Amino acid sequence: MTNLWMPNAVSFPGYTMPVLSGGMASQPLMTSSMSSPEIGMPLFNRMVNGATGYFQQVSGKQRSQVSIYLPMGHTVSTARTLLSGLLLSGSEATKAFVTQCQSRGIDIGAGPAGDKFQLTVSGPAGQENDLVNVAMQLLTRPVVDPHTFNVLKEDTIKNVQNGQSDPHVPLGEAVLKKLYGTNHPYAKDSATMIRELTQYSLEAAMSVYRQALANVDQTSLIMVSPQPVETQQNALNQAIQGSGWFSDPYRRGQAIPPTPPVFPARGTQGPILVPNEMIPRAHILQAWRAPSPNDPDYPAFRLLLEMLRGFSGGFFKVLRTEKGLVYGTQQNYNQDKQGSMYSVIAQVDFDKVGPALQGMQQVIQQVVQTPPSESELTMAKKKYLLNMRTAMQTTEGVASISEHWLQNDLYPLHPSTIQQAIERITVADIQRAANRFLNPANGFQVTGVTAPKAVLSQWFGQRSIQG
Amino acid sequence: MGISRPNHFYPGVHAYQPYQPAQTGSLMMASPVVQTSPGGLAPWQRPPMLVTSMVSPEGYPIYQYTLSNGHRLIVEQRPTDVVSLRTFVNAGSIYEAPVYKSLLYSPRGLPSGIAHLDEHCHFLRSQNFGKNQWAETVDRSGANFNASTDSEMIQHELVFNREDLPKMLSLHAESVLRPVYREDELTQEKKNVINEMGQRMNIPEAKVLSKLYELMFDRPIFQTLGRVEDVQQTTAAQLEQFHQMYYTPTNMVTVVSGRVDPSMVLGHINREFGSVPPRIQPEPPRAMQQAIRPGEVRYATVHDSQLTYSVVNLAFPAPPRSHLKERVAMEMIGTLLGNGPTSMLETEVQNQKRLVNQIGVEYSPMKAAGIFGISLVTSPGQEQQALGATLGVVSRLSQWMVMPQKLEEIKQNLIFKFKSDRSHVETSTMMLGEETLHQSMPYCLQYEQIVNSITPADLIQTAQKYLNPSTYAVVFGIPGQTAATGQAGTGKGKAA
Repeated sequence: MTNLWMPNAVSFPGYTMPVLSGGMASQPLMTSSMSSPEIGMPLFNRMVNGATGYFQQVSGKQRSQVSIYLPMGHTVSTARTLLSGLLLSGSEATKAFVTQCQSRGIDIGAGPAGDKFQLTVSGPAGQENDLVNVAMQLLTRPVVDPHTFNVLKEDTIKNVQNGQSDPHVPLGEAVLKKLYGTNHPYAKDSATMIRELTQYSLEAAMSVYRQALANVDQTSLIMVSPQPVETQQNALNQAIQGSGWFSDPYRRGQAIPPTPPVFPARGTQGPILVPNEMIPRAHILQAWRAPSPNDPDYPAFRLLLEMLRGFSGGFFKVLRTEKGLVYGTQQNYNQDKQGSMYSVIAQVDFDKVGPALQGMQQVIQQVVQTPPSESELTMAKKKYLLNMRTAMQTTEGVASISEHWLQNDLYPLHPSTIQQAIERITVADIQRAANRFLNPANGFQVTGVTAPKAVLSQWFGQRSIQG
Repeated sequence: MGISRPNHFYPGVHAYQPYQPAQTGSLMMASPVVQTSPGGLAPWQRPPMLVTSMVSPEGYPIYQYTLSNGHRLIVEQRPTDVVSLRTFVNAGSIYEAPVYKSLLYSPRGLPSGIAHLDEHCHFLRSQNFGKNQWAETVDRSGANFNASTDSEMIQHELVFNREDLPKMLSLHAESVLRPVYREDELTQEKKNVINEMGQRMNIPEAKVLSKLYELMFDRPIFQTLGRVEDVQQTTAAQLEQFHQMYYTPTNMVTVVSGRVDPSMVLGHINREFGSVPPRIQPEPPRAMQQAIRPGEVRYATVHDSQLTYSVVNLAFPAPPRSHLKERVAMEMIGTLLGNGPTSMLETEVQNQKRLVNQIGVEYSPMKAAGIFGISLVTSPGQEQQALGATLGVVSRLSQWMVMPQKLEEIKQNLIFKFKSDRSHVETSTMMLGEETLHQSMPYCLQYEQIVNSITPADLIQTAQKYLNPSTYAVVFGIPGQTAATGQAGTGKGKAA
């Protein structure tokens, strides 16, 4: 298998970010071999503090954006949930600062992103210095008072508790435990999160945060702006220097623990049965282990998913058009470093559970056994192009194209490079991807069903029912 | 193929009024084709007219044309290779017989759910495409299609790569203008609609919201989905009648935005939509009406076994779309009350009094009415306290002058949000179409000027006019056995 994304580029041993010499490098590490009139050549460089910076010039856009990806790992996923609130509204002073930023057109967001913690600040073009300084202030000088911490903690716990009334949540948690293993961080359930949140003190939460901040060489930054890449880099470097954000030798003794790998598995598991007496319809969730962005079959898998969605996509065609079982299906693709997941959720009447499961099976068998036609492949490529163009309407969208790579410690790719890789995909590539990930002989699939106990018994007999 | 704002539906708890079949014959007769003028071209055969050329807030050229049959076209030239193409129809579930008896709406009309079912059928079969062929053709071109129906508007949308523009203009016209309804195929689509009802109507928050609309307008949101019995009994002939009556040239606006050539778009649209003979609107336009009267408080409780927490949704009457200044003032009040960590409700009701743990504020203007809603998530047992504290905060808006610095902050916040929203081609076509259809285009083109014209006194006046703590509706969504509304009623003063 060749690497379809980067056939001519540098090799990616382990797909990790490069380790560069310190200081302000004058030469970019790598530039894309592609360019487009609207999106310039990207620039990679090590920042003044040792973090990896990625810069992209977008002409004609009205806004600029900077995003910082801190290494935090899934072992502290609960802390990450809390930290987004702490960073943006940890005290009255912080709230006032954020509100004041909003009135200058600066949007701020923070939260878990794959195995990272992400802070994103976007604002009007021409105010890049302001933008990067806001980002550095929030990142390096969080102001959190104990009262606000307790309020945030209480609300976070309540929100996690309330979320459990959504039937998808307990169903998803049961399926994830089978897909990744009960103790894997990707399978952490609401009960564990609530327990961990309850135990978190302000000191413990901030200690996790400071440790992540101190590991600057595992941090990556992306800036997308109408400004030239060198101007962006200078602005960001100055802001970093001004904020005093450097590696902290006293704190970084504890490296961020990497997310553990998931156990190897193939075949099918389930259905996992999750009784829920309150819901008026059954929910079916099917999930598969799927390729991460560093997998050679990742681009082919992305196109395969384009074939499964939409009106003529397998699930809609079989479950709605042909059988009339569902209004629609919800499909998700989580691209996490140690174990990506593709999932489909269908909501059906209680008396349609069996036919729906059969229909879902039929769709998967079809894609595994039958190669797509050339016209289906062309359709998928055009849909992918449309998605890319939709993202490229805004600075924020251009930055989002790179998100999955940065979250996975990979080089972000220029959109033209991505598009060229997509264009090279063949019917054989699609079928190989389908076989690797969706065929139970090679891939790993878990099915879960939630409905009242009587309904589950009716369809599945006396199998073990969770709960 | 969903239903736009609001998203969820409630089956209702009142007994339904028996459905009275519409006088279809007389309605059809009230929609005659306009006759050709003697000795000359029919009006719809004359060339289209450029009504005006404008500039979008971002500086992109916008051209507005009226075809000779009255169909309106707006073309925005925007530097993006994604093209959004929509047609808006000035119709919706408002023309259906109400599912609950109400003095505000004529008891006559089409069966409930017909506007939404018709919208689905546009993707099913058309004059030149067999069953599902149209949708497959669009899908295989790599384009996305969708449509939505609400009480006052239906819209059909295609989003595609700009290279496919000519093909998509033709496909769009085919779907909007030439649907074919066959009884044998309706059965399947009715199943799809009923599945959609099952999915949307079972969400507890949706039930609460729909009930709130029922109190505010005497018309629940679920009206648009209709009653299952009505949907099942709707015939192909009734759907044909609906299409004939409301998909008339003067009742439609088509909007295109992207890297397109306006003259090319005009040529295509004129060929397709310009050839439809004009028809007279069968009856005066209908609109949602405010049901709640000054000094009246309406309240209801919805019990739902899926809920593990309580929801308190309250709403005040609000300005309609055409009241531009009040509309923008209302948006500013919304920001002041519930948008962001320093908003009044979040500061006082959530952080200081700890009565709620989530707050949402939303203002939705309509043709002739509006709704300003506040949604609170709280713990069971705290509903009344949360409501009381919220009403206390709202009442202060009518008395307190906002500090100039705060006002300026909110203005800038809104202007930036408006610009950010409009940076997507799909948002732009939605905004241009909605505002054109409802004759409030200056809202879109002069938003910044309107925002900047608002004074602290305007905010007080708007709050005094609309946010009266003795005129509101409230629905409590409470954990418990799912059942009909518990306590419900109207009265003076507060919901007890």
